[in-house]
Amino acid sequence: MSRSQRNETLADLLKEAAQKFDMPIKLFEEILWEERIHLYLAATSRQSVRRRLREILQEASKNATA
Amino acid sequence: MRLLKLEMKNFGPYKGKVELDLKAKSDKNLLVIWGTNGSGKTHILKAIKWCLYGCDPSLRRQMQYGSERDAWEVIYGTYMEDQPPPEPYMYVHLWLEVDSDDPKKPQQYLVKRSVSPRTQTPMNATQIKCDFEVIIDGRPNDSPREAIEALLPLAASQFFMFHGEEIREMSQRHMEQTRKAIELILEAETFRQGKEDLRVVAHEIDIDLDDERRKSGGVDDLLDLKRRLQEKIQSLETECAICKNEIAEKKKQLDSVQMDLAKNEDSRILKSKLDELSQRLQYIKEERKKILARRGDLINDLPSKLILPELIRVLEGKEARHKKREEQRKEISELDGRLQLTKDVLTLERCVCGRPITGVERERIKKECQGIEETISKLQAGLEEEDPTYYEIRETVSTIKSSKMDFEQFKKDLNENALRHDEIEGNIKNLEKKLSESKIEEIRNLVEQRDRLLTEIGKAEQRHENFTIDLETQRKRLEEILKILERKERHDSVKESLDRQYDLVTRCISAFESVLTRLSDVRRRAIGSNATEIFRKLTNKPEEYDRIEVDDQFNVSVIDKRNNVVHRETLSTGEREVVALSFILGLMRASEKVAPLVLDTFFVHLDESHYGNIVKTLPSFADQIILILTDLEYQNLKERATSSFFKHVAQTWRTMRNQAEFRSTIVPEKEGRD
Repeated sequence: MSRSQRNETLADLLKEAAQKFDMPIKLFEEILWEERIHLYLAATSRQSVRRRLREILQEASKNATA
Repeated sequence: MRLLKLEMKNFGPYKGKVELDLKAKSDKNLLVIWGTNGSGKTHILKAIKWCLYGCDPSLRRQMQYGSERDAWEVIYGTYMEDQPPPEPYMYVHLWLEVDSDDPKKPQQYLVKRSVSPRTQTPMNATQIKCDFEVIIDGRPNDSPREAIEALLPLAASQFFMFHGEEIREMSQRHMEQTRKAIELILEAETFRQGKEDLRVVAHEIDIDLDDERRKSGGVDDLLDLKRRLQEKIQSLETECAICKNEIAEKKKQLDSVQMDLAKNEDSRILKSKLDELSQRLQYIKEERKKILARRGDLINDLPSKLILPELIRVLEGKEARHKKREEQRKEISELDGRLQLTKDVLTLERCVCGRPITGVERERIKKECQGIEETISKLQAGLEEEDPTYYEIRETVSTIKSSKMDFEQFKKDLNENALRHDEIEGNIKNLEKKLSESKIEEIRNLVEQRDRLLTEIGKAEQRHENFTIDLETQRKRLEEILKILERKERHDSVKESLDRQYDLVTRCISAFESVLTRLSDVRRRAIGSNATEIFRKLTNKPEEYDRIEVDDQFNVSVIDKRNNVVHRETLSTGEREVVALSFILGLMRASEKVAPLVLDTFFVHLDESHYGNIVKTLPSFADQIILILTDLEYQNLKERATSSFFKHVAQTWRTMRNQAEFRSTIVPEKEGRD
């Protein structure tokens, strides 16, 4: 498996799940980024991540309406 | 991520500034640092790690970002624990290159980490200050830690840059901490934690939704009331409009009537005069009634009026006698005054001029007194008797004369009244004649019409005012209802948004779960497949060992050609290291992270065959590889590696320890570049 194929693996999984559950891929990526940064830095509190997730969802729900 | 340059000052055993050009190319991707034990070669790896993370991330340590204590340990190390540093200042600058969307224009990173003293001679970690900065394409980044994490997470770095001792630990069964780090690199932890967070968020949204449901409850009653109010307002508005139309219509009619009246101005003046005369005639008639009312009184008083001339004649006779008597009385009174004065003179001894009054003069005065007294007696003897009826008759005459019941006056008043009456009646007749010649009837009608219209307009305006007041009241009520409904709508809008959020978060959880399930499997298989590929190249028993398998706990097993698991205990130390290296390289590839591979003192336990295999395949392990070797390892490498291996070496450095100066140095070896 080449590197490019490996890179596609995660992208494919995300795309597939987004399609299956009718999720905007942008929302998916935003949530993932928050989770990654939280896990990597281990500096922010869980509460702040969840608060941020709610903000992302609120924004996404607005966009869904628009 | 590729390292381009390292610059450091006073880092660990290195005193002063050290610069290393770390640029690597596709055909020259190996960098070699070698030296004796304790000469400072591992501190090059530490400098890179410290610059990126502020700490030395390793499997042995709890993963956490750098602190002043880490920096303090780096500065003083184990060498000068109780001594202040020669120059209490340290920094490491690292230049990096990161692939961007444009392959020709990679992003340029400059990572700067420095330590400065808070006091002149800092004696502990609290007395120093650490600064960290990341400059990307010349612009300082607001979140330097996040920028570095995005390149190579702290947890992942331990699988890219490690010491030989760590690889040996990796060959053992994974500790919980290591397993978590692997999951983190492979994103499984991200999805797992994300799923957990989303579940909590979903629960919070559900609670908020219930709250909104409670708040926004039934609005049917309010809507009914709103509808009723709207109907009422509409009806009132209609009534108001009708009233306004009516008023407008009547005012229009009034204007028309006024205009017609204006057109008949002369007639109107005549009419107004006629009205005035009619009023005056009415007054005269009233007056006549009063005059005629006096007639009864006059008849009552008539006898006394008739005897008045006789009484006046009698009074005139009595008046003459009364006057004569009054004159006599006046004369007597004057004489009384003279007599009194004369008598007063007699009492005086001197004259007013001061001269004494003589006897002769006294006698003459006495005689005068006697004469006056005689005259008074005569006059009193001849004084007329007072007529007792005189005053009575005079009073009666006066009363009869002053009485208003004057028949003559009555006749006079009556006549004057009749005259005025006749005059006004005549005038009225004249006016009426003139008016009859004009459009009197029409004017009368117009005036009547005007008066009627004014009355009707007044009533309509009153009605309109009542409707308006009612309308205002109803509108205010409606406004309140609408406000309440608006508040409820806001709740509904929030609820709607929460519904959407809940829907999104639910789908997101399912998607995360789906990715997580597949991701672990896909990544595990990727690690296994990559590790096997590398292992086959490295193992000294290619005929015996078939593949590497990774279980769901990321524990590694070697499977032989007969499809049996080769127990860890049966593997030699070198074999375990080769398995661990294969696993780590497989993990690196599966993680999709691009970073340099730094191998520190790795070749210690390897036999000839493993060593040869690794050296042969080493350049293909990563885009940039930094090898840190002991002097023995380096000698070994020089003796055993082929010339094709050294063609991949971009630069070789040698670290040395100056024991007299307690410092290390690093120097490039010219023969390294070939």
